[in-house]
Amino acid sequence: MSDSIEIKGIRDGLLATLPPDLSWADVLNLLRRRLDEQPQFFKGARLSLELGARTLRVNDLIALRDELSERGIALWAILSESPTTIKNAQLLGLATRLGKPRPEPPPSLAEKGEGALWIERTLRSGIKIEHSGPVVIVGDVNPGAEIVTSSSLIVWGRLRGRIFAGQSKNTEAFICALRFQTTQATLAGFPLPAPPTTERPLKVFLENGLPRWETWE
Amino acid sequence: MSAQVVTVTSGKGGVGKTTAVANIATALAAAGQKVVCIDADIGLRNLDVVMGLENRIVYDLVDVIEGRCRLRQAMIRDRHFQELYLIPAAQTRDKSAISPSDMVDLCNELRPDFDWILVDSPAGIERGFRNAIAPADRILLITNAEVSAVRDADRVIGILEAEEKGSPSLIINRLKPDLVRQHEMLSPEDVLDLLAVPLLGIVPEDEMVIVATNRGAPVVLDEKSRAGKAFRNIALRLMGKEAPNDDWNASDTFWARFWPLKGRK
Repeated sequence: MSDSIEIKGIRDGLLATLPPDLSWADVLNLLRRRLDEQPQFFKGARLSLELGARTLRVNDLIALRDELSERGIALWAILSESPTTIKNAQLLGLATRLGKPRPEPPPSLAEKGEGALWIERTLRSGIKIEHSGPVVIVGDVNPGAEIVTSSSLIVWGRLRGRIFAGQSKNTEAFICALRFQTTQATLAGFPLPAPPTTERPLKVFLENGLPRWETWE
Repeated sequence: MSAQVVTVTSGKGGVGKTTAVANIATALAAAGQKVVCIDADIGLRNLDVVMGLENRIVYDLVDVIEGRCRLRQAMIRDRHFQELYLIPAAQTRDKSAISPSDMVDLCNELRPDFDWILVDSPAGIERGFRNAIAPADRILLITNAEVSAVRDADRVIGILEAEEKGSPSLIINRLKPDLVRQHEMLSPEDVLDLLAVPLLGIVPEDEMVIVATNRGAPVVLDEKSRAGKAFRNIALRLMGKEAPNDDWNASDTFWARFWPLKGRK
């Protein structure tokens, strides 16, 4: 009983309850098999997943979302008892409760000056981070990675990815990096020109509506 | 005996996965190891051609998995080495013909009889790639020193990390030393700086590879080939043995041999 996936129709589409005791890899295999049995039935569906207490990382969720979308299935909501999983699902703009419009409004983290997202790893090509509060990366941001935030971004490493900081016209936002090497950054909606060539850490912010570069010390 | 499953993958197509599998497998077999290669690129079968075994195919990987033949019947013995085998891909099917768990089961069946199982992954990060990495104990990531290939390799590393497969070992293939010296090609340092994974070897560009591929005799069999030497070193390192450093920086033009300052900055 606990080793099978239950799928039922709900108002928001389909709800799949995943077995809590198996390893995540086994659950994925089960889910793939189930979806591949009736590909036509699932195609175009909106799928919500009940995960129980399982803790999933952002990358797990990204891989799951991408794999489902390859099968034409939209991952709609993640229901979980694990606060970490819920937080990670919200980062990806997934609903975490049923019957709520998507995306769930982020609890205005930016205004309260809390809720910084701390990531201690290199963001590789294909990873997209969306967050309403400040984002701190300890590691590199490689070309092909993307960060969207309505607040500031601090990169303790090389910044070579695509950046949208200070979204929704947050002119107070800034971007800092040990090596500022991206040519694809916007700050509060302004596309930034190429950063000055330097080996030193740089900070960019808006002054009178224009970007200004400073060494970051 | 329990074989190590080594999957060779790249993200981008055309960087030399199949050539690398054929050469590393041949080099391992030449060093006395028992090796089986699995071509997981179903629908775009290539490894048999590079190994010169095309005409001997009767059964393929999908036949084994769908139970039309026994595993041993699909294993083709190499022309040069007694202990080197190939399980070819099916040409008339596609990647959905097998699943990741099929690959795991197949490799588990092969493990007791071999030292190495080399899996040739298809390009891309879709179903075929996932089939190929499912059974892997170790992953070799091939890239060229080109921005596009490196970008795809970076994506693959991200996926492998997310799947908790650990960091792959990197092989930089088809490096052109002259272009690197003229700053027209990424250097191995540039590539490693971005990808930040351990380096297993650097294979210089070598026309002999094309000649060898067309003959169906991997270039490691050619003692004089520079690429062959690099692949032999990679095989040694895989076995945990000492290998000399790859001298990719050796001059490769006639004049450069006599005029060592030419082209250097």
